[in-house]
Amino acid sequence: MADERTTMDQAIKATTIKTGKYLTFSLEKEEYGIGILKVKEIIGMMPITSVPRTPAFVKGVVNLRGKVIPVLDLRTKFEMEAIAYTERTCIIVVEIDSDAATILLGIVVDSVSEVLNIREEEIEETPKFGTQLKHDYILGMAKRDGGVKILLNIDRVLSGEEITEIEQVS
Amino acid sequence: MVSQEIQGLTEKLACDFMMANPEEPETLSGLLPVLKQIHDRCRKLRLKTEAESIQKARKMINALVSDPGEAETRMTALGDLITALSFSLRELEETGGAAKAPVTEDFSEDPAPQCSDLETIEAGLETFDGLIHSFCPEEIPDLGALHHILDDLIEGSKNDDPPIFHEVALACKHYVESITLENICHTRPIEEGALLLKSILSHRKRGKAFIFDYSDVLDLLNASFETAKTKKSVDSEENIPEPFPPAGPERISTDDMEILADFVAEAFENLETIEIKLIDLEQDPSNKDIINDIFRPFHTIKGVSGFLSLTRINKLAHATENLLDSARSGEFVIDQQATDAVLESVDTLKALIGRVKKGIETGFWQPDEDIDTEILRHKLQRIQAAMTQGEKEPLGQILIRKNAVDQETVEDALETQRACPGKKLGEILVEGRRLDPGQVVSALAEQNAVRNKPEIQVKVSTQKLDDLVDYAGELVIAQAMLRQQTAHDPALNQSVAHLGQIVTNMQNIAMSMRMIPIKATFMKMIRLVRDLSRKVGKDVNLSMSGEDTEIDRNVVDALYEPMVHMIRNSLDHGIEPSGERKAKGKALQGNIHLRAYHKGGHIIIEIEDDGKGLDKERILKKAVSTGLITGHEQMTDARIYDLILEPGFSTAEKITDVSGRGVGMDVVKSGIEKFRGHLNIASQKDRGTKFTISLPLTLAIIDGMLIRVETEKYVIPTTAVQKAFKPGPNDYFTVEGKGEMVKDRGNLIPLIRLSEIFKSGKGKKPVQDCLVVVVESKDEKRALLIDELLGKDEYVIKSLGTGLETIKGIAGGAILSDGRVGLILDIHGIFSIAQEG
Repeated sequence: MADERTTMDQAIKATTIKTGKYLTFSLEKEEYGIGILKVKEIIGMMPITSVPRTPAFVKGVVNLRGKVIPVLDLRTKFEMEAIAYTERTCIIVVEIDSDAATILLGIVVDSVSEVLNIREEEIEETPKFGTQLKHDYILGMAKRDGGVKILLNIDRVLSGEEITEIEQVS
Repeated sequence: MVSQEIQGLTEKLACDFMMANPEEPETLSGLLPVLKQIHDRCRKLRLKTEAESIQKARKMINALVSDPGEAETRMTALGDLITALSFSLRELEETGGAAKAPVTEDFSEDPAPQCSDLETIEAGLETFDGLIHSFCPEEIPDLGALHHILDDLIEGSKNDDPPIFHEVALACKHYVESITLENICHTRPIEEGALLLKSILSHRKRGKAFIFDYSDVLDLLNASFETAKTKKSVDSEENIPEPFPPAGPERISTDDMEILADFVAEAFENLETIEIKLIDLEQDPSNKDIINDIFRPFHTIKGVSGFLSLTRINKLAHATENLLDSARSGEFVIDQQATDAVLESVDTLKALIGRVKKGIETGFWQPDEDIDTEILRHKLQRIQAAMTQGEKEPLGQILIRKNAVDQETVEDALETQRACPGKKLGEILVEGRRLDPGQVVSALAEQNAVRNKPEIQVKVSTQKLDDLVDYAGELVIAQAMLRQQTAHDPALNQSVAHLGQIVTNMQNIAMSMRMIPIKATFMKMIRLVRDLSRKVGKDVNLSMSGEDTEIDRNVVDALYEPMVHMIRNSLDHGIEPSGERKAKGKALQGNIHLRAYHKGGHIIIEIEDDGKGLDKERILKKAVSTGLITGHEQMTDARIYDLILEPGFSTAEKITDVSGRGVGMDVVKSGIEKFRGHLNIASQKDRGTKFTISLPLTLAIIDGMLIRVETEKYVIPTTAVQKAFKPGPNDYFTVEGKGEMVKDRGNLIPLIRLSEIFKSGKGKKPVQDCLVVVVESKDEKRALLIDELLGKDEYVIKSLGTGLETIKGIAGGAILSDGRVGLILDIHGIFSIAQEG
């Protein structure tokens, strides 16, 4: 009963949460969006200390004003081809809800584009891609100016457990 | 005068309101006290309309705080109200409102609503309380004021039903009268009275009936004008009905939650102090200071629990307090039986408060009927009754000690006193012009004084402290970077150097705030040994040294459990029964010694017993039988002893309830290792066993060596580093072309390449081009191959962030002087990675 209610709540939350402001960024030729409330700040590229024995998409750690935060490369995570960092390469610092607490994480993206106000009716359900593409972390597709922005549920993309799990496998 | 005050307060109110933000309830509730003050003043001036609108404003604020919906419109309404209020009050000032004022404070005629009635009583009580605490026997005006307030309180409460408040207030008044008439300077009864009044009031405010036993306070108050000062035993409480047990678990309201949480934390702290002090008291049973130190925390627990309607805790603490109070006033000397009873009471209180704590966690009141307090309470009362009565230090003796009078004069005076009984010694001395009244008063004060004022301390959450330490660390780094950039400018350089000094001092203070002496932990062990030695029937003494050694408070928490386990083991398995000891020619009393000292950034805790020592043969046999070892290994003594740290290992033939289930030592080991500590065991047959725990002094900072391996920089904890050298061409050997070793003064040490372990490098560099750092962990040595030694420094350890905390071989991150993150190596982890290949 209680479980049912929580799943209901989550479902309601997931649908209502879609309308709102999104920070969009580009990866290769695709445009992605994250809910603006998840974004703490955007910082330029800074020296990253790589951490051994972690999955490849964990680039390492950086010093964010005295706090050490992990930095992940979204290209590697999405199995895209890695490129050399340019001047436009950014680290988006996001706040992720985990079971216990909120986690700060940096994600490396090619470039940050803009903040968009996206309405519910502009968002389309994620199409089924079959097995070759996991899509449970995609909130939906927003159609804008002839293009498509892929809206990410960043909590799902980068859960803290995932980092640990993969580390244990390796 | 009063209207000017109102003026000032109104201005403050207007200012505060401008700053208030409905999203931050604290800013709003901050307005309440100001409003209350204005309200009081308005009532003094009989400004009914203003007082009413203030009440309205207070209600609005309260509603806003509890439910911040539609904040904007409601804030506007509140703003209008406050503006109107300040306007009418200002007008009052201009038209010379002082003419209306001040009327006598006779509230009973005022047909104000009940709620504000309660407030005036509350205000009266506040003043009353303040007066009592600053009360000084010589000051007549104080007494007058006390009288006055009590009259008001009595008057205000005469129509109450039930008349508890009235009754208590009356008793208080009688007592004040007796203070005035008989020059008593014992203020405890009246303090108790005030506390009781307050708690009655708080119950009434919450609309609950006051159901506690207060007869003893009345007794206390009344006792002073009974000729014989006999303490009635507390037995009337059986007539008072227990509160109805709630049908199901009752929810704890959110208002209570916070107070309860504070109470629980404080009570546990208090109980710990009590335990430590009780042990002290056992050594020195007549020391009043110690009894006082025990009495006070019980008093606090009693007071607060009464306030919070925690009946059972309140009653038990009260009974214990009564017992201690008699001891404190010198009626008897605390003996073993009394100490045991008080300890038992501490344990029961812990259990009860534990339930409250659980209640806070779950949000519902937890039933505690299974914890029996009645038997214990009667026991406490019986002990108190059984103890013979004694006397306080006689006034005459105090006076003689203070050289105010000589022996003869006192004896003369005592003679006179015998002639006309009823007269007090002080009076006789003053009448006979032998003594200045002031001297008598000060001697009287001393006779009843509470010595040993508690230190004033501030509670700060550990999170804030940790943050402060973090930021102090950041400041050091920022300052180092600044220094690099300003090196060329002499003037700037000087300022930066000055800044550097301040920063260093600040960091030291921040660090020291987290350090506490290990004494408290050691003291807890005394209790443990005391209880356990009785249980197992062995005579064991616990001695200690270095208990003032300071240690990070987080590490202290890590120490407690392991120490308990090890002491249990020593007591149960280590120390022999006295018969056996006698046969071996040892002292009959066993001894466990706790020792703490600093050694190279670590705190070392030794637990040494003079028991029979570890039995190597038996450990080996057991290890073979459980399959831990094959029995063919060549093992050093240290390795053999380490076997007892393996899970499920216990050599005790029979399982006792003290120790011996074979869980324990492995828990000890992992507990210590979690805090980057190590455990070593040394033992000698029939001489004893010594456990040595070594823990880092602080979890926040380590001394480290910065090294470079290819492009990566790492920090090695200095404590692990043995030496560094450049290997010559003849110092390098391989086994089967793979296993690499270096020779250091004839010792062969296996070589570890960090670049290989961390898969960061490309290809093997020849050893001759590199440096070798010899590191040690748990008596094992390995050589790390590095490219460069960059320096030695202190590093603030940072977590690498969620998901990255448990990487093998990495203990954490540190921010280097260039602002980048460096990784701190976990040497032990690296060894095990190397072992796995």
